[in-house]
Amino acid sequence: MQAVQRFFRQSLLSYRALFGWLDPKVYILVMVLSPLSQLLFFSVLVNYVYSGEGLVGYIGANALILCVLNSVFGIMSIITSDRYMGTFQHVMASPVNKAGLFLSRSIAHVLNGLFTSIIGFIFGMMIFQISIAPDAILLLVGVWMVSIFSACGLGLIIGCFCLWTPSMNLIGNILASSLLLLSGANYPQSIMPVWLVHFADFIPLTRGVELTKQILNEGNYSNVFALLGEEFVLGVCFFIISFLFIKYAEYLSRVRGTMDLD
Amino acid sequence: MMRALFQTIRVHMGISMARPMFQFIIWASPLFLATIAIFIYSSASPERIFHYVILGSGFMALWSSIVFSSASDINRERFYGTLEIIFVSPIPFAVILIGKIIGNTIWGFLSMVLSFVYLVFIFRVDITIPNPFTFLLAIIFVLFSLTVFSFFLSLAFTLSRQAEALMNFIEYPIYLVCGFMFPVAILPIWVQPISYLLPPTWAIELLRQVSTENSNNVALHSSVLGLLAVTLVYIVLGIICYRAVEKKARIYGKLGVY
Repeated sequence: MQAVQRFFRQSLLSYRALFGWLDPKVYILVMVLSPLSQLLFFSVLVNYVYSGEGLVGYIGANALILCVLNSVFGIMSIITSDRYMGTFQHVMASPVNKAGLFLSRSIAHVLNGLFTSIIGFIFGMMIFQISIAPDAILLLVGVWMVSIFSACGLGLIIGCFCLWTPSMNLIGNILASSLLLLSGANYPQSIMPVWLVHFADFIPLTRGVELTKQILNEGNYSNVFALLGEEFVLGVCFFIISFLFIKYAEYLSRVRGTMDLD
Repeated sequence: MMRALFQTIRVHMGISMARPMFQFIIWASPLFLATIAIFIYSSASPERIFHYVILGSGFMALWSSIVFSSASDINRERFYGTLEIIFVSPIPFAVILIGKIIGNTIWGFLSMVLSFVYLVFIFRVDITIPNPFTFLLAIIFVLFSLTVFSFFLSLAFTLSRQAEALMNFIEYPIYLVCGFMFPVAILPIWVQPISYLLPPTWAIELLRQVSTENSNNVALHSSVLGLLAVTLVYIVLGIICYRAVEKKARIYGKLGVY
C-alpha cells in the first residue's frame, strides 16, 4: 500500500515540479489555448473541404491528437528537465526502481493528455454545435486513455535520446508532426500510400484515431477491443524499450562518466 | 550602414540555421505541412490545390519561420545577455534588427520554395501561373510586407514578459484567422475584420489573385491596396514599438531584464 502511495506521490510531485514554477498565464497559453487553436484550425479546414461530412469524427480525432503536447513534449521533459537541472545523476544513482519511477512520472502526463483531449473535444462540440451519443462517452475515454498511454511510451523512448543528442526540440517536433501526419486525424487513411499505412500501424494514436472516427461517425463499436488491445500492447512494448534504453544509458554513463554531458 | 546590414543578414542566417528547432522549421516542417495539406485536398480541383495546398502550406512554412525566429530574436539576445551590447553598438539597433528579419525571411522564402518543389516532384501537382512576372513582383511585395510585420512583432514581443509563450501560441491562430488553407469568407463574420487587420491575409489573397487565370481586376487592386494599407499601418506601429523599447532601455534601463 505504501509503495502505491509513493508511486502516485512521485507522479504528482514530478508534475508539480514541472509546471509549478510556470506562470498560470503561460500554462493557459501553451497548454490550453495553443492546443485549442490547433483543433479549431483543422476542424474548420476539414469542415470546409469535406463539406461537414464526418465532422464529429474529425473533431474527436483532432482532440485526441492534442495529447501529443503531453505525450511527446511533456514526457520528454521527464528526462530532459532532470538533465538540464543537473539532478539526473542523483535520480539514476538512487536505489529506487527506475522502471517504476519513470512510469509513475508518466502517469500525470497521461492524465493531463486525456484532460487536454477532453477539453478540446468539448470546445469543438460547442463551436460546431454537435453532440454525441451518451453511450459513446465512456468508451471514448477508455480508447483515448489507452492511446495516450501508448503515445507516452513512444515519448519516453524519444526522451532517452537526450542522453545522446542535444537536438531534442528537432526530434520532438519531428515525432509530433509524424503523429499528426500518420494517424490520419484529418483524412481517411485510405488516401495515404500503402507503405505509409503499414508504417502507421507501428505508431501510437493510429488505432485510437481510427476507433474515434468509427465510434463517433458510424456508432461502430465492433473493433474496439481488438484495436484497443493492439494499442495497449504497442504501448507496453514502447515502455519496455524505453526502460531498456534508460538501462543502456545508465551503463554508458557509468563507463564513460557522461551522464550530464552530450 | 549597408555593409552592416548585409553582414547582419549573412551572420544571422548562419546562426539561425545552427538552431535545431529552426532546422526543423525550415527543412522538415514544410514537408509535413505540405503532405497533410495534399492529403486533405486530394480530390480537389488543380486551382484549389494551387491556392490552398501549394500557396497555403508554403505560407504556413514562411509564417512558422517568422514566428520561431524573427518574433523571438530580441528575446533570444536578451537570454544570451548580448542585447545591451547590440543596442549600444555604433550601428543603429533598427538596422541590426532589420538585418536579422531579412535573414529569417530569406530562409522562410526558401522553405516556401522547398514546399513548392516537394509538391511538384513528389505529388505531381501542376503549377500554372498565368503571368510569372506579376507573380514575382507580388512575391517581392509580400516579403516586404511580412518583413514589416515581423519587425513590429519582434518589438512587441520584446515589450511582453511572455515572449516565449506567445511565440508558441500564435502559430495556429494566424493559420486560422488569415485563411492560409481556406478562404477567409468561411470564417464567422466577426472574425473577418480581425483577419483583414493582419498582413498575411492580404498577402496570400494577393498571391491567389495574381495566380488566377482571368482574375478580376477589382479584386486584384483591392488586394494590392489592402496589403499596402496594412503594411503602412504596421510601419507606424513598428516605429511606436521601437520608441517604447528604446525608452525602456535608455530611461528605465530595463532592456536586458523583465
